[in-house]
Amino acid sequence: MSDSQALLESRHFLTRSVPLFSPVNWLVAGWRDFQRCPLPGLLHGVLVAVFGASLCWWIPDRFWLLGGAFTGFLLVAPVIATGLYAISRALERGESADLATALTVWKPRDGRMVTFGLLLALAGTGWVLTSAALIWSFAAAPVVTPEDFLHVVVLAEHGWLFEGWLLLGGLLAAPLFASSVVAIPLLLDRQIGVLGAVLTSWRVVMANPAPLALWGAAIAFFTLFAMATGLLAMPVVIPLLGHASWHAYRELVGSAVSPAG
Amino acid sequence: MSGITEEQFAQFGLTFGVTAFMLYMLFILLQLARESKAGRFGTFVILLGLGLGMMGFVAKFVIKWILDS
Repeated sequence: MSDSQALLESRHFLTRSVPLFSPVNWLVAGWRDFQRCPLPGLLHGVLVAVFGASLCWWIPDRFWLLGGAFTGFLLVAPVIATGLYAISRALERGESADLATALTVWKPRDGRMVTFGLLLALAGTGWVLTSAALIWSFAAAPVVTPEDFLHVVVLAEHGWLFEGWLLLGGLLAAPLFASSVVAIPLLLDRQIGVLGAVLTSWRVVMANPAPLALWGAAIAFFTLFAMATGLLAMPVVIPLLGHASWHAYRELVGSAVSPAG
Repeated sequence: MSGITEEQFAQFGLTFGVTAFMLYMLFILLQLARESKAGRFGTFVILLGLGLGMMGFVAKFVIKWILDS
């Protein structure tokens, strides 16, 4: 499919401009969905926490690498939350929603989700390597354990390594976030190709740079908070952000318009 | 006379001082995005990148405060 065809496909969907603090409404709506149907969300969160704990167990003495792996998770998280989008959609339609609703979307009906997930995983790997290189090159002492990361990177007396690490992460994540912020819910909800969904995502960001920067920062904040609690808050944070992402999509992308002619 | 201790006054000043400083930094970010004519995507990148850096700066304060108290 050529770019122009993808753009035409994308333009079938209207994008809306939203107020700056709309992310707060998305979080509130996401929390409401989580309360209405908590089990699938908790299960998603627990699985993510178990995966994170397994990584720590597997490579406990390489936190210079794990720091990037944990934050790189943010890049692939939109795919992981696909089941939660399905739950929110069912609740919105007044249908019954349970674990089966979330699991149904994982049946590989087509390769679109898999393709997009692989592309995001590839980008996530790029960030893991960049992060490891940054920490390895600029940390004043070896970063082996989470405590080392806290004292040598986060609370470093001299320099701005932690701020710089986050800033670089933000700059590298910006185009990926712009590509994925509404793409996965759109792929789930409508018949559209991967490139069309990505272009729609970019159009949404172009229409709302400040609200979506706030939304990106909120996602980073909640995820870093969950990591700071030793992953204990992950079972709540994952469903909160997953359901909220669905509401972001619903507010940012309007209904399809009929193709002209 | 007012019943406020030096520690409470310092705490109050620090809380509001840091908040005001962060708001000022946010203002600088918005000005930077506007004056650099970065365009809509540039504005998004500046806000997200520098915003996360700023969040790290605040997180450092909070973590130090939690560890000290």
